[in-house]
Amino acid sequence: MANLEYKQAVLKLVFEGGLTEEGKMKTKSKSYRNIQASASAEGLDTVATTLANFSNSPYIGAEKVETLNLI
Amino acid sequence: MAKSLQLQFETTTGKRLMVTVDDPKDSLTNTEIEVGMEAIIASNVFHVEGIPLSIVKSARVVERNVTQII
Repeated sequence: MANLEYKQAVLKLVFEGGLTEEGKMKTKSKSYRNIQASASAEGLDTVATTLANFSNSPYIGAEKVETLNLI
Repeated sequence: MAKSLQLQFETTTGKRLMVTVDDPKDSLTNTEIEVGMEAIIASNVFHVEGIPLSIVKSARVVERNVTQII
């Protein structure tokens, strides 16, 4: 019998990271741990836009990444 | 020279959480930072061992200088 058990959530902000030699856009990301499993989409958006607004890097978007343990 | 903005929060139980932002805007005012940090607390997104953040502890800009030798 196998189960998936919640382990942690990470908020990942994605920024523009300049261009490659071929002129394709690169991205860079910054991940934040200690995210509540129950965090609302509204709350996550507030955090993402607030932090993105503190930085010079052009903000693209954010992802919530959840990790589950397979036990 | 790499700059980063370090935002330090504390929970009701005194546990600290540091959130850093790379390449911060030079134009940021203390008020903007404080309002942003309060908004982050109010959003109830971060926790430390299950305890939500409750106060703004500090905010500082850290600059790192690296000199390549070889």
